[in-house]
Amino acid sequence: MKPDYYLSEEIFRREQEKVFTRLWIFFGLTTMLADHNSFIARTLSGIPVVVQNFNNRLRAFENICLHRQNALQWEDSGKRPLVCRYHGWGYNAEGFAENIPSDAEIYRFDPKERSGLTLRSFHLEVIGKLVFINLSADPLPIAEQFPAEFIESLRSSSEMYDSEVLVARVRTRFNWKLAYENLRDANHPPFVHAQTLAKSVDFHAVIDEAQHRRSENVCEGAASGDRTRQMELLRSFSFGGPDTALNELKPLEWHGAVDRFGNLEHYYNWLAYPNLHIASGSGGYSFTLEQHNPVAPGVTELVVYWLTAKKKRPYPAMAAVLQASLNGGFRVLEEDIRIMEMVQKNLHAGAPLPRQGDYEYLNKMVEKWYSDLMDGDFEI
Amino acid sequence: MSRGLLLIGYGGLFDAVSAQTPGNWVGRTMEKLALTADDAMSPPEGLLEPYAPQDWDLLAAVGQDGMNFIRLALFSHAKQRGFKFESFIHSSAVIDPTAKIGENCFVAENAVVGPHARVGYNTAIGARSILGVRTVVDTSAWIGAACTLGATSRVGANSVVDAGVIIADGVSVGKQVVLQIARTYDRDVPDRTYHHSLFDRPVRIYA
Repeated sequence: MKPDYYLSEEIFRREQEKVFTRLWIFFGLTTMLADHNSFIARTLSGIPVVVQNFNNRLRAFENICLHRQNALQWEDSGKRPLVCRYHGWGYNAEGFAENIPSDAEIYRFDPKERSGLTLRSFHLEVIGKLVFINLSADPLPIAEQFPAEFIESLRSSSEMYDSEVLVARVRTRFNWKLAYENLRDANHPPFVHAQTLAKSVDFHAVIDEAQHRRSENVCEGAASGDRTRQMELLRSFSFGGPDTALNELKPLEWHGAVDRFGNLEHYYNWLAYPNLHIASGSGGYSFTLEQHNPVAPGVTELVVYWLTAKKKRPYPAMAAVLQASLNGGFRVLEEDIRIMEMVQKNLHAGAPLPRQGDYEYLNKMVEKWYSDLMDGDFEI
Repeated sequence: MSRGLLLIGYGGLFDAVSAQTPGNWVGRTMEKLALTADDAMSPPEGLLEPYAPQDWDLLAAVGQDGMNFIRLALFSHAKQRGFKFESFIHSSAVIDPTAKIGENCFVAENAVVGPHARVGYNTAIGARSILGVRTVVDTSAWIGAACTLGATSRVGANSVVDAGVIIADGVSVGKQVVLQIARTYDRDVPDRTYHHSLFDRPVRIYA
């Protein structure tokens, strides 16, 4: 895409408004929200959001106390009531400031003002064990964003996730779009991951001729204000399931302790537009979830979750399994990060436009769709 | 006749102990059984059959692989078969007479274990590391070289403290923790936390 799309503060702001506050965004795992008062806190599109369990009811609120704007939950995740640490204001499942210490004595809000002390809430959807948030007051149905078969695939695969999960966060110096252009590019692993992932999986870029023709039609056509057509295109950006066959699946001792997802010795891959990637490089024995949260045009927070398929019996050494996954998996991620940071570093207003080949039909379609959206030809 | 001593394991710790115990150790006959990592993790049924528990004590020397769970797997395998374990204390290490060190421990060159300190079974203390007064290192832990564990500090089971780490007095490091960044830790570290220079903030396992 044009260099501006990766560099401009103005486009970043527009992108936050048109993409990230309109689409459903992955937020976390229900397994981390299993108990009353358990919570996850993240910042999406510059808005601090907390998802909290209130007696098995998940609610999403702006994570800012209405009194003096202190964050209600400070940690990334944990278990404590939704009570501000500054002056003790406590909020209930409706986001209402149910308990204000010394309310009548020192605050003396009038009844109308008092009854309106309610946190801003956000819409929340759960697919299997995946929690999605939409920051819009009037969100599109999630089925408009993701195809039905994809939602079912996310549901069935995530239902197999174990409750023990290793979570890492790292701040990267590239635009979030580069990550997904890279993930949609099946021709990079033999070059970038020659010593790691490409040893166990033979990735080959193939041209789906029908998709290629579709991409040509989309890209050569004029900017389209046909929302129905644009939303149909959007749904085609999210897909997943078994990908390339694994060269070899080495049996590991812990495999016997989990209920594997599926029975194919394949690399599994799910891409949920705009910013969730799920992979299983172990034929369904374990999973990696990567979430790219845009922070600035050249800064993206990467949140990575490593977990195995559901345990069928206790496995005391699971921490070692997850740590080994982190050590191995992060080597692959580092290889991608290094490339993308280098791309970002060299971008400037006059940089040459990318020359993409026919195998990159999906990236071309995403770019056309994104440009039409940014140019105001349609709204989500 | 004194009981024989069987050194069993693989990797750097096995090689280091093996090099320091040529033929015998403190007057005891030694045999050495080098394993693969896979055999240590899931010991084959007949692995120890040639050795009778009444004639042999064991030293299971495996490094921090798999957060010390591989060493623990080998230790447990032998324990279930009735074997007792020795601990390897290097001749240059200084152990206070009031300190307690469990079985199958490894205390390397010039390490110091202070008064009333306790080291749980199956734990390794690296060269030049110092355990202060009443420091506790729990079972199956790994303390790398040149670490300082302050007075009354604590390191939980299966944790890995890499070389050069300093744990301040009274600080409690949980179980299954990995501290890979050589710095001073002056606040408690929760269970199953991983401090690694690649990550902006500690990596955690949630359950």
